[in-house]
Amino acid sequence: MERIKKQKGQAAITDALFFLVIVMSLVSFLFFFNSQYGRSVGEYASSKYASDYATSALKTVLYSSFSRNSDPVESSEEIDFLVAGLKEDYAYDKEIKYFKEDLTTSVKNVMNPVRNTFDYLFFIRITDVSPKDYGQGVYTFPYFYISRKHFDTERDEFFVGKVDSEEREYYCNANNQMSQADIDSFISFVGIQGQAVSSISFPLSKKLKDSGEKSFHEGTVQIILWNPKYFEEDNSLFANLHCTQIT
Amino acid sequence: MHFCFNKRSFRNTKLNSKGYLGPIGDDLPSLIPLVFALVIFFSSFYSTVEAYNSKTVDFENDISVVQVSASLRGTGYVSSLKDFEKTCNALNVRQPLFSSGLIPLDEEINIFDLDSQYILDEKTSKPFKCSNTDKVLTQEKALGANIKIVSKTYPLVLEKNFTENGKEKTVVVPVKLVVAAWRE
Repeated sequence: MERIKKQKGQAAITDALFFLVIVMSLVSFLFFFNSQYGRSVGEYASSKYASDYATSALKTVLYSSFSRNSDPVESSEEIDFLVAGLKEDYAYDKEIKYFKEDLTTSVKNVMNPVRNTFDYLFFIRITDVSPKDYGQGVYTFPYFYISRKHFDTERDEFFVGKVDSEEREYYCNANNQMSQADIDSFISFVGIQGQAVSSISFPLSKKLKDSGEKSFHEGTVQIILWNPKYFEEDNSLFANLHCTQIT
Repeated sequence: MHFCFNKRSFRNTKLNSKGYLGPIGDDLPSLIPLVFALVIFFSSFYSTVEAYNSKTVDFENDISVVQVSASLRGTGYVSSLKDFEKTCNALNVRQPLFSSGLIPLDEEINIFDLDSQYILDEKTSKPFKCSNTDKVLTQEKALGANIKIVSKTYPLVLEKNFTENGKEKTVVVPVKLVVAAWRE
């Protein structure tokens, strides 16, 4: 007891060290708070912007006028809504061929302001494809477009030295080999940032109706945005989409 | 006996007071971690408060831009300047200052020269502009230490009505809505 009484200086420094430990834990908490504060809000804001942009982009593509001849829209004599042209195109053979390029141009123009921020895909999906598939949940995709950044990296032994990105565009679903599950798997892989969907009805021509088809095919137009992600073209999830690069 | 006790006591005092520097000097080693802890605590507390305030201002700006753009986008279809101005007048945002309007889709945005980029109405030659200030965002202001600028872009469609060769014509063209907000 006598010995402890004589060690007052050591007790003081132990108290100080305890105080230091408490302060350090408080400081750690402050640093943690500092780094985390607003992170979820920032992520939410980014995701909200992507969703809002996707919704606006979809409306813009569907509401816009287009020229049926090669003249600029404002001076053209033949102006129509792009969606009307797409319906007309689909009605004859259940494919979108004649106005495919007009749709692609419109989508690219609308997505131009965020082309460096997001990769995206835009597709039209039709349900109840033909009489034998009615009620079976079978889909076709008459239009499927992807725009993504392809990254080329130069590596030395230890580090990635230089990264170049190139914008690549694709039409997918060659030979109707793609399924909804393939799209879902790909989207899960790249991680969705924002999306918008709109339902749309496609009337069919009299010839098709006479052959037993419905008067209308129900479909959806969908746009999905994600943050650019590195993957090679031979990635199995991407390969399942059966894409062909647009030159 | 008494003498002996005093002698021993004197010897003990002398032995125990080796390196004795006085009441404060004796606690000097313990003061070093104390001061160190206090300095670290207050500096990290100050930096946390600074970061908190800075991020809060950023969020307020972001929220204001989202509110303004959501109101101006509406259904995504602008039928006329009157329609656009009606939506604009319904906005009640005092801070931050903002300037927004419609710009051709293919035009690159210069947030320091937005006024010259806004689309003009065909009939009235008035711009599709919505702002809560007469002040203009300049490069000098942007270089200021405390200024925070947030800018967002959204696609929209604008209905244009005009007469060509005596015929009324309506075209719906894609444009972009730009909202730039800042605090001075």
